[in-house]
Amino acid sequence: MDFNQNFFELFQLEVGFEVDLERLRGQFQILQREVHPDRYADQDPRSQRLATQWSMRVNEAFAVLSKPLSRAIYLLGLANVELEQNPSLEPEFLFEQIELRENLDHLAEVKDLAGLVALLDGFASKLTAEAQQFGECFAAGELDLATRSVYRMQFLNKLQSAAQQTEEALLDD
Amino acid sequence: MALIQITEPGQALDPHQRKRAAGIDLGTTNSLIASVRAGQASILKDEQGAGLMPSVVHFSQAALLVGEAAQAMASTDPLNTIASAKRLLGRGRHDIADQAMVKNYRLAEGEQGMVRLETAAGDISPVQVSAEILKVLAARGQETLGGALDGVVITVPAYFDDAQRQATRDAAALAGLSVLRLLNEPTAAAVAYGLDSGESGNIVVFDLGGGTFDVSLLRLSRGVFEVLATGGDSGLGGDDFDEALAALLLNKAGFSETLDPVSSRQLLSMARSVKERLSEDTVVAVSLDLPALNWEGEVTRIDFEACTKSLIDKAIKACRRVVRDSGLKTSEIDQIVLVGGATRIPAVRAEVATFFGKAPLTKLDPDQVVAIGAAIQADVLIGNKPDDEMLLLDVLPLSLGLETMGGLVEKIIARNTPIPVQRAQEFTTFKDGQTAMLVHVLQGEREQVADCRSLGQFELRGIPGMVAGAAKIRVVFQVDADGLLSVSASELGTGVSAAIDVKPSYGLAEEEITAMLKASFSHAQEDAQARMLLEARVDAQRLCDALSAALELDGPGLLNDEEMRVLQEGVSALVEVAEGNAVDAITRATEQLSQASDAFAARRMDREVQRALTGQSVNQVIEAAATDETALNSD
Repeated sequence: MDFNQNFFELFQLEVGFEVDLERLRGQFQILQREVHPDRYADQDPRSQRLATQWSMRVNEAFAVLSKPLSRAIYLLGLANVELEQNPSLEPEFLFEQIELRENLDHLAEVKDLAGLVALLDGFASKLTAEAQQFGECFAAGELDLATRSVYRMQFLNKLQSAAQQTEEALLDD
Repeated sequence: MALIQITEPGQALDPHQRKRAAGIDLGTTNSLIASVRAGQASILKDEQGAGLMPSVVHFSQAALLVGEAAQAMASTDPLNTIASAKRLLGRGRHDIADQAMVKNYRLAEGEQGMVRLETAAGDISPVQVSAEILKVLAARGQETLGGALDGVVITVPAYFDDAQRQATRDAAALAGLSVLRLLNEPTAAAVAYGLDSGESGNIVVFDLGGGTFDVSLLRLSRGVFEVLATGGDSGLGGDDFDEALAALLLNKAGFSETLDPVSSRQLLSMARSVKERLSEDTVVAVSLDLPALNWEGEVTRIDFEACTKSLIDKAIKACRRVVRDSGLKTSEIDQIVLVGGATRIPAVRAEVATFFGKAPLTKLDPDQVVAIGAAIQADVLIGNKPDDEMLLLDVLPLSLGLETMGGLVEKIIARNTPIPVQRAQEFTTFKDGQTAMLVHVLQGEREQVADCRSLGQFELRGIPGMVAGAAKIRVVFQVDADGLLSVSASELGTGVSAAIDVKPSYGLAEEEITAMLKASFSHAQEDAQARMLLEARVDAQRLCDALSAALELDGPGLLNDEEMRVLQEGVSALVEVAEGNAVDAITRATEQLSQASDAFAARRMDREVQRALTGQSVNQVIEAAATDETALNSD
């Protein structure tokens, strides 16, 4: 298996943040048709193991490329940018995060589902805007700005999953 | 078209000979076997013409009864008549929360805390009960198809965790079956409907069986079934409706003491028949004539709906979660497929239609649809339809993780991740000089270790003493296409490693399987010997044929002269050994040649994948991807 091939090459896509998701999905299906272990179910265990390894790689590549944040992080990796564990961010952004977090905690406490849905919509549009900014910076070769964009997306993403979990808990009540 | 036809039938095998494959629905209440014959999947019936076989086994000193005959013993000898064993599969004695099972049987604790049933024939594991059911079904298949089965697909609830899947595989091994794939029941149902209609769109499969409830959301496009999300409740099923109705009957009869096992069982079967009649009628007259009480009265559908409302609510709640997980809206769902006998209950159908805003499909018999789908998949997997475009892409049903500090679970692979999948995570030591680390593997959605299922644990020893946080321990999770997990851990600095297949936890221990297989062989020692020799020879022959064909086709292009010579000599040597009668020698030589040809197989596969990607592959791939043509040729 050629592990030197990056995920974009594996799917025959141009390296870049803009990805046609329909096409990505189409390529994913074509590849799985070839490498899925079900294609080797009647064959010897070695062929099956080999197919499983390929199939895992195709699944992983699809997972990484299909979501904006993981795709962005992957692109930075290809550009040899190492992400920091605890990046320092602009104070205004951090204050906004704290505010959003408090808002989330409050909505959870009073079990305000409608408010929570509105908050989630807000996260979604913030993430879309941030992703767009990443795309522009990355395309322009502004790796430093692109990296800061990723840090903000990571923050927003964490808050978003916390909000989703809260929503799940409220719905299941 | 397969990439490497390592086992392509050569001259020794008739290429037109279809292999015998079957799909088995190993259900909580009933089991079925189906097969594709003359292009049509159908249920295989027993001599009396029955397709459904009750998943019941009766144990005694004298004889073993399975199916109807066993069912008939339920009311007179309840403790030795094991029904719904699927509810105990892959479970430890201590995690049986199912009060009906605790009440109806004498449960004991076996090795590693695994649950056992005390019967007149000794302590029996639920895996053995399932194996007995599989054996009878396989015999039926063998008889109908005119020879031993070459491979089977066995269905499991999508919601089954690793231990339950492993236990199902163990049961098949014990029954001597070669399993092509464990297939999720909802996926099987979608296949049964999908191939009929050839449609594309988003399909919800609502499967309320005897003992388990599954709901899955699949996307069907161009023959690819992609599971988007799956969920459910492994402890909810039609049996619970029987229990609720039985409790209602007792309540109406004003009986408040504990029932004896015989009365309890008779009451349950009465409740079941009342439930079934309530799907047709709105009022049913009941006459209870039990050892413990006599009562006459009536039950209305409204009574029944009131006492089972919480059960239906649970199912709808799971539907909501699955739709949310899939990222779709209920309005984007095109079809709803009903599976399982309990979906005949009018209130269940009504609630499902209300939630999805659409009437469910009921064209196929909800009891048969899973086995039919499994048979179709078995036919494809065994290689009877080499040009078939059908592909099932399934997901992991429950998140997998590791125990970290403070009894918390760190998720490594989230639920609904497509399988097969491999994920790695790095951990570190938390104490200075720490030289060992316990890797505790868990499955479930909750944050606390205590709320998740423990799949197994192992220790990584020999970590060199370092300050806390300096060691880097990499833990790798691999889940194969059956949804089965294996875990390995290594310290990156030193390469110290440890691994487990999360295997013996709650199924049977490896030695137990071996012992049971030996015991069953000892009855027919000579048969077994002859069979083993035959199998070893067939394996050797298959390898030789396939490798010779591959060498002729691709050897000159992919191998140098020396590599070519080694493999050709290997084939000749194996042919010679296979003429002898030494099973071990044949098996060893086959294994050696297989290993030697490994690199060759890998090169062939690589090349085929590259061909597929660059659009130079066989025509069918291009055709299948007609809409992606521009994408393929963009280079």
